[in-house]
Amino acid sequence: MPALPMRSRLSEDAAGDVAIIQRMAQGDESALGALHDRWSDGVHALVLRIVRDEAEAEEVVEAVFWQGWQQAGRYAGERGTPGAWLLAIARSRALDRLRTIRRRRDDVTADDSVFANEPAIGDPLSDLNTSERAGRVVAALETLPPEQRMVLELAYFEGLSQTEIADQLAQPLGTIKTRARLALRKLRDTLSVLREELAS
Amino acid sequence: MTTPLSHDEAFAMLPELALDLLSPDDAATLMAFVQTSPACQAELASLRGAAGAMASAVSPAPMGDAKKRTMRDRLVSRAVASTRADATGADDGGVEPSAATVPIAPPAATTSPLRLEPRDVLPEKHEPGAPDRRRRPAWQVLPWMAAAASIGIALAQLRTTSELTAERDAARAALTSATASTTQLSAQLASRDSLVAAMTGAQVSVVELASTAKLPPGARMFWDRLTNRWTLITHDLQPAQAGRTYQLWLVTAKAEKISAGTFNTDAQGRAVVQATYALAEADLAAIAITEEPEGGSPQPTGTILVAGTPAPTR
Repeated sequence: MPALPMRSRLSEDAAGDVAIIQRMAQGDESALGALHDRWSDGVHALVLRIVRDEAEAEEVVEAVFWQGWQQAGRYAGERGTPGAWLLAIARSRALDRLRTIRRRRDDVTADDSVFANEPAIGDPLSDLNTSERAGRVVAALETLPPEQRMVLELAYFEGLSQTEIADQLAQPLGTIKTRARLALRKLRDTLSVLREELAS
Repeated sequence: MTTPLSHDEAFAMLPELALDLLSPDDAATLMAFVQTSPACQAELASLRGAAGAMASAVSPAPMGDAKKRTMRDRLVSRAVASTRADATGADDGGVEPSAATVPIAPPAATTSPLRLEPRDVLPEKHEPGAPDRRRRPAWQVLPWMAAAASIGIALAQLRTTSELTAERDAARAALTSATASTTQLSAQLASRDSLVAAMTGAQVSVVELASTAKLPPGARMFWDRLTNRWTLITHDLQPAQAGRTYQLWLVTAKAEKISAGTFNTDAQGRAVVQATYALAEADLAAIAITEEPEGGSPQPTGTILVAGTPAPTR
């Protein structure tokens, strides 16, 4: 198997995760256990935040790691850290499940192409460990006006379309578009500043 | 989007794409444009990174140790089975993993190459007076007797092993169940300890919230200034109407209304809401609860149901 490309700056955690993904891609089953040890709590927290049901969350978490095992060979380091990759899968699967719950349907359409044909996920905090990331992201979110943060949260954690958000917040669609654009760019910029401060 | 996108239009819409806000058609149109523009690709990557970073802002919610261990074992077992299936050319089929679909080893085979068919052991009829064709020299019969004895012992051992395996599995299941119960109880205890700590810490302030109408609901906020932990306990607050939710607000001295989360009460009107938010003591002017549309509002839109102001610091 060709070596997976490494990012130029990775935290020790992320570098360890890359090594685990490489082992998984080579068929080392114990590496799946290692990935689970490192990420099950983080994935569970995100999935539970989205589906809000413990039993549903546990099923989704297991599906996420299984998808990780099946697609480890397709993971490409330059597209983002393993953590970002795994959390992207987790969000996608959790939103699928949330929509299924909402529609009260049993058929789950799994998005198994989190990175396929899409531009890379530029992880802005790839050089931080998990606990450091959490504090900085919370701090960055708190710099946003509440109405902008609300749009981000409804989009990211609820998987709502901008039309649904407009309906829910009783705001014009154009207002929601503007808030989404301003919010995400400001969040990106704030995270970049935090990263530069950390580096200096 | 029916008209071709300009670069500026596409660039402006990238946050909506990064947040998956667009309809599938619009997203596909925009993605097609992005594939032609390195600048858009770079911008989209950084925006996706920022959106993805929001996953880090989720409050920790670890799984119980027993559940985590069980899931881990199931995944690894399934991966081992999958690897073996790949090696033998079988197809796992990409079935969703769940407790019900975890590969379970088939029951041990109960057939044996030494098994005797009934016809092999039934006695033949013997006609009186006829020569006894069954009578054979001892040297011919002894090996058959030895084989029969071996088969009997093997079958007995097979049954004993099967019973022991079943007993072992039952004991394991009971142990797993007991461990899960213990873990659950420990988690409940830890949660209650945490709640008590949040209300009794040396740096905890208490803000009483009273109804603004002649209604019974009330609430009490415990603010641990050391950990920035807020714990709200409501009483007699009827559950919100369908499609509505309660929202907790921290009102600052500058009249900013900061959402501290949405919640609902149980049938008895009780709820325990916890949030973490750093706020200087002097900046808190009031705490209020409003009823809002489901999902909450960026700013309060409903009538204040209960509200309170912090007592002056002694």
